Amino acid sequence: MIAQLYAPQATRNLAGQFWDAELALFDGDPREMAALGGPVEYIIDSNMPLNATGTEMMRRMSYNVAGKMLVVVATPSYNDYLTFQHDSEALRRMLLLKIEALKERVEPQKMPAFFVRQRGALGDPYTGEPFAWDEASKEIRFVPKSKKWSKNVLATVYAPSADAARKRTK
Amino acid sequence: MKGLLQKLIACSEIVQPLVPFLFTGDAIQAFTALSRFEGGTLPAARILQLAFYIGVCVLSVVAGVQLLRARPSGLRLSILVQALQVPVINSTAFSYVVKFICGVWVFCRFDTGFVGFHASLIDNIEFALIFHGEPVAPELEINLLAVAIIVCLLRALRRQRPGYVEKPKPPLPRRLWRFAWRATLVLLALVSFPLLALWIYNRTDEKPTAAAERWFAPLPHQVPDAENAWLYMLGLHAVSEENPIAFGSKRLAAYEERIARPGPIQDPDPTEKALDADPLPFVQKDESGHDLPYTCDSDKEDCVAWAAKNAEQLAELERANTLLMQRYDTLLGMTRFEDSSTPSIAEPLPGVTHEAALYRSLVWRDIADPARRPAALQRMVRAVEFAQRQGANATSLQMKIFSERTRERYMRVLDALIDRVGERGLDGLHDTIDVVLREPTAAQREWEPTLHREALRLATATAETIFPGPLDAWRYCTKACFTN
Repeated sequence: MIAQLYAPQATRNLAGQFWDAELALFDGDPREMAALGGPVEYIIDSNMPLNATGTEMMRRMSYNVAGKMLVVVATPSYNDYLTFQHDSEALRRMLLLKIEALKERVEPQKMPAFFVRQRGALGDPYTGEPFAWDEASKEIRFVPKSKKWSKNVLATVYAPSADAARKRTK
Repeated sequence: MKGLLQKLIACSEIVQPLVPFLFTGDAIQAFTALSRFEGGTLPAARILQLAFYIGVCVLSVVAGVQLLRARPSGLRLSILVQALQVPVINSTAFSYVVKFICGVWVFCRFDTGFVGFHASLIDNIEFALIFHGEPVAPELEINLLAVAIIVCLLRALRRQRPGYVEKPKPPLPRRLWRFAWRATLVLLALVSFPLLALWIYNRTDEKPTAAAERWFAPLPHQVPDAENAWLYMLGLHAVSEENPIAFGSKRLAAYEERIARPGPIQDPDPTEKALDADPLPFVQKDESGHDLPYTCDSDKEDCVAWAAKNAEQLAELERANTLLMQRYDTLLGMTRFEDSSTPSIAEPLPGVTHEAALYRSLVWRDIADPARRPAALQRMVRAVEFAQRQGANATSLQMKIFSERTRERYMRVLDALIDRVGERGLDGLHDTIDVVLREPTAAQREWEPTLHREALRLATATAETIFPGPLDAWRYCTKACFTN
């Protein structure tokens, strides 16, 4: 029965569109994720308009309903993998920032200004803005977007004068 | 019976046009129906509309009276009145609606292709005769009740012809049977015609687009088996006498043989299941059967302290898994990586997470000891460089993410190490920092191969899930058609 409402090549063509849009999102600049995600959303909404009227929904689904379901509904969302990659990049930048700060012997209270100076290459990958600085815990902080992390915040201690390793064990 | 039916039709023709006038609300509604098209309508057109409405109502009443009085013109006028009620046309260029209070309408909306029916027993009065009205969605309706009444009236008219001889009535059970049979046919037609139209519509397919051809092209196989780290990972748990590549190849071949079978993906057969079990499993317990700790989450605890505390157990694990750890170290030295399996939801996944975790835990243990630290740093670099190669060449999502995870975990190790050595010790970590915090290459950041593999995985799943009917099978079959 499903096969009777399935057009193989139309499904592949739709999938081609979908994967092109996904690739543009995945290979794109994380600072433009919202805009790059637009075409993916459009493909999903135009093929399965869940918010449209029943008539409109039936019209859109009258052709190749099985194929559309496979492409639009059965394809998992890969965004968490993408954000995991960007989050890892944030961690890498935070460590580079920490090393630079150590080399320049930046005092903890001057870290926010130091972050602003470094934000071009060593800023938050999603915004390009400087990372957050927690004065109390002496931590460079970043809120990851992926759900694959066990913590809500990625952080690295920066304590040039004190023993950071000791601070870490507390 | 026939006389009663005619009287009923006559009464409805008399009553229906008058109903709106019996209830003020309905009258207002009827005139509102006229004003629906009022915007920009010329006075002459309005007069025409009103005349049309009154004309239809008067005609209906006259026809009903004549039919009730059994006058010869009654039948003809009634047929005309019913015929006026059969079509309902809605479009911007022309709209025609004559709806009295009851009817059964089948409709087709041309903008959506939606076909259906609706019925009304009361309260569905609408009149319109519009040329160039307001924009409306094109729609055609047919009043089935009016059609049925016309059939009855035509039969009555035929009976009035001179010389007409009525056929003898069949017995009641036969008439009932005939009625039931015809009703069933009509209902079946109502359901099956739209379904047939839907089926025919879905038999048309599109031509392949460039994007589809690109995404569904097979992935190239470029790395020789003997050099493929993925295959080595797949066979890492081979018995001591067997080469992991050879064991990995056996596992892969069993899977490929299964996936190539026609029809849905089957469960692994006993041979493949036997290959799935690790002949040389990772040892996680001590001799008395207690779990030995070999993994540390740096988000939750200080892993340097953890490794120091569990140094003895880690050494025990290292001894118990000597061959596996040697193989893991060999794996980290391999330079070529390619996911060799046919993409599918049942594809084999190489599992080296235990070995990777122990290897990292041993690094955690050794970085705290200045004497062992240089070797630990070398191992760390080795693991990260492998992860970078893996990330650049892996096509499967699992392998790509595994590589990303490995890089991230060694970043945590490096972070802890920097905290221990401070600014003065950074020079000694220069090479390690250079590797662990190296900017990802374009190949590592590139997602096309991974998404390409995902597209193929889903295509395999589709091919194994949706079985074409005979027509599609014939259209898409290229070789050995209908032989399997």
